[in-house]
Amino acid sequence: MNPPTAGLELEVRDLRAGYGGLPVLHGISLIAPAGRITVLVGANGAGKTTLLKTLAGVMAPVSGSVLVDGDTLTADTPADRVKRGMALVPEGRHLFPGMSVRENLELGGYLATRQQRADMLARVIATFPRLGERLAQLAGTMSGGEQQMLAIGRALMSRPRLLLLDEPSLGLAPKMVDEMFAALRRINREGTTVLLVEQNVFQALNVADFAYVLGHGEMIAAGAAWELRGNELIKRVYLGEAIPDETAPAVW
Amino acid sequence: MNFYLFIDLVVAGLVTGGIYAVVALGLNLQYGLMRIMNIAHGEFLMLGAYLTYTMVKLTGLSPLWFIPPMMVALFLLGLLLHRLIFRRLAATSPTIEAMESRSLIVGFGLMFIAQNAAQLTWGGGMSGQPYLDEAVKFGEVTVAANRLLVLVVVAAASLALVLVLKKTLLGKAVRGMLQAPLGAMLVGIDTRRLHPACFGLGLALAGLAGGLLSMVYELTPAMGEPYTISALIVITLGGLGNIPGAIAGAVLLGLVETFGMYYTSPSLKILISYGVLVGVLLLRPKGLFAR
Repeated sequence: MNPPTAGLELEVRDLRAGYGGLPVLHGISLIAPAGRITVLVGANGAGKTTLLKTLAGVMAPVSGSVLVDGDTLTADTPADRVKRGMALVPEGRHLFPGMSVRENLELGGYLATRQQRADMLARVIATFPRLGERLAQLAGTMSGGEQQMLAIGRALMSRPRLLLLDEPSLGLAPKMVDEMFAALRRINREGTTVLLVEQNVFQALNVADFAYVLGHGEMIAAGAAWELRGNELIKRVYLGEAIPDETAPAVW
Repeated sequence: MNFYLFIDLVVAGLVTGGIYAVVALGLNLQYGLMRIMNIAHGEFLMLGAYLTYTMVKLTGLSPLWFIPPMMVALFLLGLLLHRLIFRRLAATSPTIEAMESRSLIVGFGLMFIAQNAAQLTWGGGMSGQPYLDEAVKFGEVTVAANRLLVLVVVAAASLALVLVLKKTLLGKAVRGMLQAPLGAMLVGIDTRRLHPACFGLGLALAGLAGGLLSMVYELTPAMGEPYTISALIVITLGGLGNIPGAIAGAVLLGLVETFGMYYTSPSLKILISYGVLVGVLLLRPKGLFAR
């Protein structure tokens, strides 16, 4: 099995986006370096999902730019972005519930050639053996953890060089969460750049190289993942060492 | 009941049901994919019928020659209408509900335009050019040849559509758009190209039904309306976006109507169809085949 070509670098410059005139992102900038895992953490409503939807091209930004390996993507449709090597595992998965696991994976490789689809199917099954056992099962009848594996598998079918994931651990049993993070590490080791949005901050910081903290539409901290693991603010708010109260910094 | 009469009624029911299936499949794709409540859907059946009839009148050839090019013409008309009207409607509608209600109003407009244009062109009375109206005997059972032909063509068209949707990557992409629009966009399915194509396919299928009907029945400018209503009932029976369900629902409705009319009166046809609709809405509001 041939590994995908080198990962893409993602750069976001001063991105503003929102829904119907209501701004959600107030100028976000970040870099997800090629071949690395970058994690984006932040409270509910901070704008993480909006950011990922804008990156995938299903939402239009108000201003700012998204660059992949230096090329600006502003005019690219979601399909154009998939062709460039970008894939998003969305929040809520958005699988095709009435179709089999095999059909879901096939559609993941919709823009690939027949040969590439066959190769990638074998690869995805090697990564998630459970999917291989259930190729004929309807996606909508699987457990939440299996559906998440399928959502990641479907994204992998397009041979992404930049994989975006929106809360992949949400609603999974702890054992499945471990399995999912292990799979992400394996995918990344083969060269794919990963940008991960997570609420499971502790485990996310453990697998990531770099981390950003998003609060209400603005970036409030950034750095190497190991640095942020030691950051008092992150510890207090996300790692459950104390419940934030009036003594917490005003920014929260 | 007499066996031969029973066979007659079954054949008549299947012919009606098969026509309903072809009409409903297109409407199901249009509404399921784009939330276009195309109340003018039956008018394209009427256009298909008149176009076929006119060509047969002009040339004296078999209508079967003219059905394929007429379907291509309606497909292209569908692309044009989608580009001029429905794409704009989708872009300017703030919500999906607004899209539905606006497309309904636009559909009424299209219906009036199409019916009156047909009246101007072909007159308001009945016109007809029956084709193959001799009887075919299977032992003791006689069936009109044109009805048999209609049955074979609609069955082949429905089967072909189901196979395309089930087996080809393009068909799976259409089902993907029906089941998870965002998921479909994210895997790279280009909805901006497939949506107009599916809208055009709906018109072509309605045209096919019309072309076939022109061999059997008299035509009037208002002939399409009841088929729109039947198609809506069929979609409710089969479940929104459910293609095999729509076919089963169409055959069921065709049979219930035919047997119902035989045992009561042909003037009660609408009452029987609405009875089926009300029954389904009360007992299985998500369709007969909802899991």
